[in-house]
Amino acid sequence: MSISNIDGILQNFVSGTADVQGAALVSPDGLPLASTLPGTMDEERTSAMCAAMLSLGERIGKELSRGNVDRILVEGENGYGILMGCGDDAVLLVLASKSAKQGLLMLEIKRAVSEIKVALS
Amino acid sequence: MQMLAHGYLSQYSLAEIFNLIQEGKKNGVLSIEPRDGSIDASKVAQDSTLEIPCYYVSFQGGRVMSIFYGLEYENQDLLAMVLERQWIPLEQIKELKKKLSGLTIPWGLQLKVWEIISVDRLRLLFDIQVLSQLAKIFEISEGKFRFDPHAELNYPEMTGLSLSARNAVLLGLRGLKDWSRLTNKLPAPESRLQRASSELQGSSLENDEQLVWQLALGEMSVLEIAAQLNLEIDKVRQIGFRLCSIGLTHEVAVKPSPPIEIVKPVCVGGGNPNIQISTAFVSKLIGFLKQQKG
Amino acid sequence: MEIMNLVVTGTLGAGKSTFILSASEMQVAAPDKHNTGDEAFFPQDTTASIDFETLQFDEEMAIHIYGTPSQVRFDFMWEILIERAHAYVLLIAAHRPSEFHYARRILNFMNQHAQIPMIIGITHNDCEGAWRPEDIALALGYHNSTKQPPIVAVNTQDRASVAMALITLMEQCL
Repeated sequence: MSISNIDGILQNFVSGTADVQGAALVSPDGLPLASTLPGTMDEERTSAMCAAMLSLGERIGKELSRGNVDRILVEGENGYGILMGCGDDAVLLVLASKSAKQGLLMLEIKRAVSEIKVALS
Repeated sequence: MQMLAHGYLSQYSLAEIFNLIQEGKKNGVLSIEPRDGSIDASKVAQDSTLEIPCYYVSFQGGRVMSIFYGLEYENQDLLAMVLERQWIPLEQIKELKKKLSGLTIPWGLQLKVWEIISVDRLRLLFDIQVLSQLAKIFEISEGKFRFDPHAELNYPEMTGLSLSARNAVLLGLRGLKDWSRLTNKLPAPESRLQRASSELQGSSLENDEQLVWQLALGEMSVLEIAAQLNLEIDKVRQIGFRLCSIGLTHEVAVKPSPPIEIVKPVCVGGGNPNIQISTAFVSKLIGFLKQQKG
Repeated sequence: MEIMNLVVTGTLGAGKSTFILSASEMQVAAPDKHNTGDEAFFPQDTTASIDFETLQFDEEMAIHIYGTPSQVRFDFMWEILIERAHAYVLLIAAHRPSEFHYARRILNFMNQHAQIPMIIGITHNDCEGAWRPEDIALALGYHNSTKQPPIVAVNTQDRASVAMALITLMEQCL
């Protein structure tokens, strides 16, 4: 799997989407595949947390009969952290500021996910 | 995959070169030196030492990052472009330059994340750097090209925005005004179009292109497709050419052949949850822990 | 980067978080960004806390250490964590015998889900009412010492002691 073009896709997504501050592509077992994250964030740590959050979220989805998890959203006072599956082999994390419009953001994320899926296949 | 290092556009079309770069997910700079009508021939004849300006296309991972037109490859400093448009005062530009230097990410991306430049303005810079140049490049009919895979990434000029080489071909050919030199390369009216894959592979098709692609099942001729969609035959031939150029369809002359099975490469991801830990890892860790104990 | 996932589980008040913190403090020249103080995946005081720390001991090698929540109602998290783990530590507070049956439950659960190297760490040995390690082993159902995993005494606040425990665990991995 070549990652060099994923970097380009992530950068294109972060540069071209209002209110998005960073993005990372992570393997389901918590290893970073590619990332464009704010300088203060550690790629390895972030990746591990994404994987932990995803498995926890999936478990909750199952337990509460919510079916398969489409995305996991963390809304904090400084903004959003959104996790979205990218096929079986990757998870996309998106960091967005508080001013982001959720609907618009989800649309852009979906677009990025479909582009990444193609690049991964 | 073997990469063409240099050659003439008469041998390899730009679309073919871009496709190779996309497939190989290449990094580097492609220079294109026009040798056709776009250069004033009389001037060249008068002065044989006259240097001809080239196009320099920067790729990262098979994606077009920026295009520069000039005598020699130069850094198209984003901050200079910003200053020219008076978006930011000079004082602040100087400060930003200090903060940005040494960063290994596109400067445009960082400026956008810092909320110094809006997405719209960044897109404008990308339009100037890339989109406005693409159509011009695809107008070039004759010339030399050279691909330098060792060229370094030029972060100060990069917006962070990029375009896959495949979509760049699509955009470049869409903007083409003069199709005359390509007439004999367009799919013939009686040949059929056959999809190369059941998926669009990330290509952003326009409405008409999508319609043609949907009918490209190897059964209808270009003529029949044009009739069904109520489009001009020339337009369908041009669309067919674009789709063929980016590898979404191929032209099947006369008789339909059985559909070609596309075997997708098996994804070799790192997503194996049972990654084994090596003995070297454990030994090294024990060594490290023993130091902690003492 | 080669990464080993390590799970630290155990009974209430056995010192899981302290153990994890001590381990992560061994880091060679810890980069600042690792010490942002967000050592808990959720805030420390909440009952649902998953601790998470990294220990990078080589340029290309690190362990990720996950701590399980203590409360029984969070035991679904054990499964999530153990599925990804390469090895685990079960910490037991020696002076809280009422928790031993809970430790046994964790043990059974883990053994069902993963056959991976593990050790038992006994903490609070110096507290009043502390059981002796061999008695704790019996309470956990190890009636035959040849089948039991290594049982070590640990002072979770002492880096050297934590290092010793981890060495014993790593020897299980070889």
